[in-house]
Amino acid sequence: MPEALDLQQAERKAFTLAFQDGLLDLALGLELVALVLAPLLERTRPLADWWIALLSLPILVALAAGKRLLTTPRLGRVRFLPARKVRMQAVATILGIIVLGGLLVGMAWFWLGQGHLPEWVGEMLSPTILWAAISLFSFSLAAHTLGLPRLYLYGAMYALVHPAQALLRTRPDLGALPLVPSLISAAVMLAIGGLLLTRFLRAYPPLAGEDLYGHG
Amino acid sequence: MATDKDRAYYPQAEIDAVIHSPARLKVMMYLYVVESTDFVYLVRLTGLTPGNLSSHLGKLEEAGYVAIEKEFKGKKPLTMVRLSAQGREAFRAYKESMQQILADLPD
Repeated sequence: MPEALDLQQAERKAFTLAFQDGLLDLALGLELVALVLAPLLERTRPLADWWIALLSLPILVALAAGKRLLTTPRLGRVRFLPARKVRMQAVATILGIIVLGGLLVGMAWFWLGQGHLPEWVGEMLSPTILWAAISLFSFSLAAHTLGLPRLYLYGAMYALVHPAQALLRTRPDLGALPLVPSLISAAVMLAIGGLLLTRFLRAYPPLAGEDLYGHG
Repeated sequence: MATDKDRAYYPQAEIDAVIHSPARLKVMMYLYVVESTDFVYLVRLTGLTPGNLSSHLGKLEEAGYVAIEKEFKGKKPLTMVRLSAQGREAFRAYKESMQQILADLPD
């Protein structure tokens, strides 16, 4: 009986059920591949920094389509109590601030390149340290809020991608070697996502019709 | 809702017989922690079969504990289930009763 009435656990289960499809893991893994590939493509194609956006867009579209076509028909829909919604909005706001902060840092770096900022600011704003800090903080926040501990690991994996990109840009003699840790990380995420998706599809076959409850 | 027989077993508190069944308790518990869900999500959460869940929801609806609302998502009909105010209150009272009974049990 005490287990049956653990309401916090029940609410957590109701919430995390929606993340058992592995689609988020697959999207994060593919996004990491995109982050690794973008600098390589920048070398050979004229689109420069647009590559990351071009590679990310289909991933986001596929994630949304997967949720709509695979997850919802098998799992159904849920609306959470205001307390959970407020928490999610707070996290979205914090993540928005982080992204905005990242953009500001990017602009600061641009100005620094133009010689408009003192040198010590440049040392403070080391892109590798900032990228790692932002990755670890945002993934940890998401892991805590969503109740998905594997996101802590993903945060660490994302934190490593910037040093790899920097090495790739500055040390062409190393070839593709700096990419290996990030590609392994991406492979781990894709494997976890694939496993979760397979399990999800087996565990939750589509029910006969979305609106099964024959009232009214 | 408690019968005289129930009261003899549980003298300290009233036990709501509508909620006091494992399957309906599960349904009430999950509906208590969300605003509303559709039928499919509730099947997944509770692990009950659609037929079984439908039967239990019927009993809970009859008692006035759940409200079934028909909506449309685009052109598709969607049935959302939620606890009524009465159901929410009944579940809270049930939880308190059970805690009271368990607390009163001798070691």
